[in-house]
Amino acid sequence: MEHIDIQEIWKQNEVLLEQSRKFNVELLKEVKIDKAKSSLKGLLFLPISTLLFYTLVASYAMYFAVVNYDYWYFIFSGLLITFFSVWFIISSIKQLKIILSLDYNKEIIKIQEDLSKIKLAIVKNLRIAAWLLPFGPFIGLFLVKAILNIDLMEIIDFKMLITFGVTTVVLEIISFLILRALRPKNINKKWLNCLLMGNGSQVNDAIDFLQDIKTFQENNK
Amino acid sequence: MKLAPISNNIEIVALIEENKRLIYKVVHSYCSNRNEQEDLIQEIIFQIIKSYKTFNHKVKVTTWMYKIAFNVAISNYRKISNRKKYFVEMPSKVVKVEETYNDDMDEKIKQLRLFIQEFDPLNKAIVIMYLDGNSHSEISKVMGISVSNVGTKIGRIKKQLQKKFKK
Repeated sequence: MEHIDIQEIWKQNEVLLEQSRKFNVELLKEVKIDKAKSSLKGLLFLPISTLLFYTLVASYAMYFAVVNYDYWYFIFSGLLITFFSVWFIISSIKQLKIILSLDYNKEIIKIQEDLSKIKLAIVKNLRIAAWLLPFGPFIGLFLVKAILNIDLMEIIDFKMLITFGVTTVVLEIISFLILRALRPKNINKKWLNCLLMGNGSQVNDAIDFLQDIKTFQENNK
Repeated sequence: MKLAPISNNIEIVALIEENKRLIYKVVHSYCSNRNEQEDLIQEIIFQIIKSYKTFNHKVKVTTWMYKIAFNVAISNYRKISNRKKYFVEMPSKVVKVEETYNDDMDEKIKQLRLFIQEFDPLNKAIVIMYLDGNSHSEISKVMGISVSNVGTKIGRIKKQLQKKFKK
């Protein structure tokens, strides 16, 4: 089959497609585009909600650290939570920047890469949370003081101290395992799907497609 | 971003009307369900209208429209965007898809449609632009890959299509 024949068939296909579709120009003129919602707006929810939440958390954590300046462990826990909150905020802003600058009028490879990266944002957020895990005992001190106004360090005994130490070690191991699991090649694990809040298949799809794009860009003869 | 009512912009309506075949071909190649085709056509039209304000008139209209149409179609194909999709207040659809297949349709057309649908989303875009008679340079601008890479892929695609037709 010569390629000219294929192109002839393609032209016939084009005519057939046009015959089976009715394009209403008058209706198009009436369309109220400003009331239309782009399907991309659905992608904004996660970064905006993350940004707002962690802005509040960071603000409170800073206030907490200042108000409890007499106690080094409260200053440390407050600053720690502020640091990680700012990390989440920066990550959310980067995601928002990608989403808001998405312009379908750009090269296909660039846009599809950006869209896939947006889908991997949930993995980024989980990785940040995994880094926070080893500091669990300090988060506990912060939360108990913030919510119940109890200074756990005043009632701590040797046994509790040992428990804190063991907890820290265990959380460090868990953190390490999660960080390893969240690497692209390891993402396809069933238990991880729970951690990804049911978005595991979307994440897998995004990772696979990024690999497809990389292969597509290679000029393999 | 608030957009001017489209009725004020006769140019874009005329451009869409003039190039509607391009949109049909892309949609039909990425989407076989009739209802989804109508939704996809509307999403593409919406994105074209939205992008028109920043359209660089030095670029070919078809190049610009191909980029938008393929990006929307591929994203839809991969279900990237939320399925609570594009919604516009109007009494009926801008484009009605009446039928997908005609019993009298040439067998070769059916086969070609099927073969094109078998390509992955990125190569599908190259197939469509190649069959539309676009140069390697134009395809390269739309895809964002080198001209030589386009040439290699077209060579491979031609062989694959010929092989499929011979079977």
